[in-house]
Amino acid sequence: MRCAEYCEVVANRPVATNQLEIEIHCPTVALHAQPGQFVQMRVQSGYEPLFSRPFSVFRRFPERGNFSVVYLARGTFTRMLAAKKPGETVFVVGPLGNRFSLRQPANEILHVLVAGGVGAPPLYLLAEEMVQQGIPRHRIVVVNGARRQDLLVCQEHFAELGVHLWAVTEDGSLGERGKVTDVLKSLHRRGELPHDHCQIYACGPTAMLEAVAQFAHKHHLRCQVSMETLMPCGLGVCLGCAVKVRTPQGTDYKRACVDGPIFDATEVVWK
Amino acid sequence: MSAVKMAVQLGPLRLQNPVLVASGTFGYGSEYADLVDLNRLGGIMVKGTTLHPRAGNPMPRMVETAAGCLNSIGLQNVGVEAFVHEKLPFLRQYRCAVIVNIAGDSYEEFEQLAERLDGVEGVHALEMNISCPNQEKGGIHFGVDPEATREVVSRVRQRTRLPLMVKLSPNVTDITVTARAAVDGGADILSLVNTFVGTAIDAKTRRFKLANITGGLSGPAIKPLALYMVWKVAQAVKVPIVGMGGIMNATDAVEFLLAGASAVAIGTANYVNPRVSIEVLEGIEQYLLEQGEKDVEDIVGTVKRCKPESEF
Ligand SMILES: Cc1cc2nc3c(=O)[nH]c(=O)nc-3n(C[C@H](O)[C@H](O)[C@H](O)COP(=O)(O)OP(=O)(O)OC[C@H]3O[C@@H](n4cnc5c(N)ncnc54)[C@H](O)[C@@H]3O)c2cc1C
Ligand SMILES: Cc1cc2nc3c(=O)[nH]c(=O)nc-3n(C[C@H](O)[C@H](O)[C@H](O)COP(=O)(O)O)c2cc1C
Ligand code: FES
Repeated sequence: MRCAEYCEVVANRPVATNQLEIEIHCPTVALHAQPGQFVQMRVQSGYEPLFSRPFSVFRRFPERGNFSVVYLARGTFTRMLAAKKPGETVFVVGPLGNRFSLRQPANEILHVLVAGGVGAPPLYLLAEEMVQQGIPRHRIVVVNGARRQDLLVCQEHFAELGVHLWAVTEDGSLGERGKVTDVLKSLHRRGELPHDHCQIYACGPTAMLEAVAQFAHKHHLRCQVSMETLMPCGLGVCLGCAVKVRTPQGTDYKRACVDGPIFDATEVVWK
Repeated sequence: MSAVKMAVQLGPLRLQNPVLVASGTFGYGSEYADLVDLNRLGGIMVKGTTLHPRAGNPMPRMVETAAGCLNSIGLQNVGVEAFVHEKLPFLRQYRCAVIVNIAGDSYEEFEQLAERLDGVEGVHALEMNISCPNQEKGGIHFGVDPEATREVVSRVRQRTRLPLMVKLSPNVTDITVTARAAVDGGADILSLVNTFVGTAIDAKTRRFKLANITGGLSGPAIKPLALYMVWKVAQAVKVPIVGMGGIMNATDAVEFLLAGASAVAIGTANYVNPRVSIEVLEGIEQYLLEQGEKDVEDIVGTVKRCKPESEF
């Protein structure tokens, strides 16, 4: 089930520096969105910018028919989104794309969620689902990274879930100093990432995904990544979101919006 | 039942209404089927189809520009056999017309595509894409050289009984020249325009934004250019025209009808709002009611010159 309709903004509140959480009334997305899926949003009536933008579903409130998205007000579109007030509408198409798949047997595996910047929201939804499914909290490890403390997304929400949480910032303003891969390396050194009983789920900037994918490959760890591309249509028709993948015959293109955004890290051709 | 007559006759091709969706912007219909009632569309122009499957160009292959976008997809598609076996059965369930957009690198490829699709159940017309950047071995652009246009159209004409639509390239000095050549070759219908060649540069990194350097510009940015070309061609030839280029709403669509198009196709706007084609259809009906018109065909080509100030 998915929809394409004007939806009412219920709330649009700041959650950190330049970060807002927008809550939108849209029963279809509220009921059906899965961790890793996204919506296409459009807030403007004119043609600048022309295309909708994809945003990962962060929280679902099925009982009141709402969902929310966390975003960084950084560019033209996201600043327009930040100006939306409760009662106004946004055009929503969704939910779209595939979801993170829960490796089985889920209760016996160590689930390592690796977030970079605004990559955190879909991983929060995944962690929440894991907790609701009864996966022991100590088997859910979240490595949440950003350049600075004020750019770290969803930190309190992860903390509230009671999962095993690492914060990591490049300037050391909160948690470990360094990058998410530094935390992964130290976990690995301590023997805490058993390669046959571990699954990494990563979402963040492409450079981070590539580094995480390389780390996973080197240590024979399974890894799913959420690819970020420009998504003009989000429906699989414009072919503008192509991701280069390996095939038995060589390479091919897949569409991030419908074949993804979640891909197996070994499938992606990074360079 | 609508109070106005919306069916249109494009030469040998009858459409239940004049609203089509443009090739490359609506996939094979299935992608939109849960959001758009395909039975209500006049027709679907399916993604450009080649003899063999194509992977398309390297990334990045699409960038947003002011009120538009540049694409260099490179005709990524499943190829004609997979189209017939895997995509067409789905489309046959609907009553809208299915127009297959075909593209070849050589005369022979166009001929083979036309032969393969001739008589296939569920294919209502062919749209020849002679405006793609691919070249014949000798360097002939089918869509910009009038002699090559006439030749390729007449060769395809001999291989198919299907209504034949030819999609013109806007990347020419005088589009009426290639329009006439296509009609001389045997085109029943002309569709225009395809995308305008353009490029985009990132000043910060000093690089081209597209891997392929150039791409085709579409969207609202091209509407005045496309509208002008439709009007010019409507003066020059007798065959019906499907107009497109930057149509974002019903008013845009009506302008193309007034300029001389008998039907319109919605392209880039489908990305912005998947349901826009239905909104355009309903908006045209509304316009006709407001204008006291009973038949959409009555407004085709009825644009008048603006009154000079002295007449007021
Ligand atoms: C599956 C997916 C989920 C996402 N989830 C979130 C989320 O939860 N929160 C969040 O803040 N952001 C998310 N994004 C990124 C978001 O879609 C916007 O691209 C981002 O917020 C950029 O801000 P802007 O649109 O304001 O920039 P603008 O100033 O409007 O655009 C800047 C330039 O970047 C281009 N551009 C825009 N989006 C992309 C893109 N995705 N890739 C490459 N180029 C692009 C534009 O065409 C423009 O040229 C997600 C992206 C994807 C693909
Ligand atoms: C991403 C994309 C892919 C396209 N693919 C094709 C194609 O395969 N064959 C074709 O004839 N035209 C193709 N077109 C051109 C459109 O059918 C249409 O002619 C053009 O975009 C102008 O209309 P618009 O401004 O409404 O989009 C494509 C356009 C876009 C944006
Ligand atoms: S965004 Fe258009 S095909 Fe993926």
